[in-house]
Amino acid sequence: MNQWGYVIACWVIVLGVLAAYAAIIVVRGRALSRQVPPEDRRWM
Amino acid sequence: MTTHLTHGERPSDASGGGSGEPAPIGTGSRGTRILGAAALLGVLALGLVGLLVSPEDRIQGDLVRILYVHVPSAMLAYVACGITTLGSAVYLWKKSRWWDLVAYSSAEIGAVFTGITLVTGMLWGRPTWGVYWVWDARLTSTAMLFLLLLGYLAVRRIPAAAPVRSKRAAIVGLLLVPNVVIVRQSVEWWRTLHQEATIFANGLESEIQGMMLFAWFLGVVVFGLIFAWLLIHRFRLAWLQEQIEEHGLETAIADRRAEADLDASPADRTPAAGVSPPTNPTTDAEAAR
Repeated sequence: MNQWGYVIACWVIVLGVLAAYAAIIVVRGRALSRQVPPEDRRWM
Repeated sequence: MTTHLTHGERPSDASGGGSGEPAPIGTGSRGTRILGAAALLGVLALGLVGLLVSPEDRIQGDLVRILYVHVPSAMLAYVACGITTLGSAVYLWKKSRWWDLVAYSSAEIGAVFTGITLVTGMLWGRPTWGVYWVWDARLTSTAMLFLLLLGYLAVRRIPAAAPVRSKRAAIVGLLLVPNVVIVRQSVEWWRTLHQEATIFANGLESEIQGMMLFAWFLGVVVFGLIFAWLLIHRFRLAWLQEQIEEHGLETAIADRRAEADLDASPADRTPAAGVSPPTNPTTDAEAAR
């Protein structure tokens, strides 16, 4: 693998992991918020 | 941000959440959508600057472009550890549920960023040092930090009452910042293969300049935005999980009480078959006379 191969691998892993983690949080949040009464869904 | 909450206090009580606005579905809000959009634009700009605009390094060549994601990941991992230690300390002091959840959320994100730092470091090490891994002080201490973060998350999963679980995790959380200091100083304290500080090598002076410095700075800003977005969403998710846990416990207790009442009621009201009701000996004796 040449230098660009390592560079691209790093960038893809970083952005891929962060995107996947963000997606997991959003999906779980949507699923869990349906199980919580509306009055307990206010956090701000 | 959210106001300080203590045990037994609902977020709506603390923030005036009963403002008549519809309850959100999911963990998003207007603020996080703006933050998310800014982070996405930042990622595009970072890709443009880091991969195309910034020049290659005189010694490292194009490999220097790994710096723009590796170093910000490491820095945000340290920030996450700092927030976890702070949250843990405040939890132990004030028993603040809000800080406990912040510490928990930050630790999970810290584990993700530390994992990214280790993997990108290994991918940078292979073409630079010839090996993916070496038991160098910086690499080993970072691996220890990663294990400590996983340990914190594992402690939170040990079944126990919520305050006990939080207290145990908070004690582990206190160890994170001292570990970060060891990671940060490892290149100074020991002879290592990993290079010394590049950015703040001599106070505020940097070893890199121009477009490279700008790309690094942009990376820190963009990763900071991503971190903030993740922390807010992860905190809200933790909040929802706790609400469900509490509601589940309340429902289970109510169900058990209802069952117990149901079981007790027939025995109280009617005697069981074949068993005479208790008699009053005095009354019986008087009746016989």
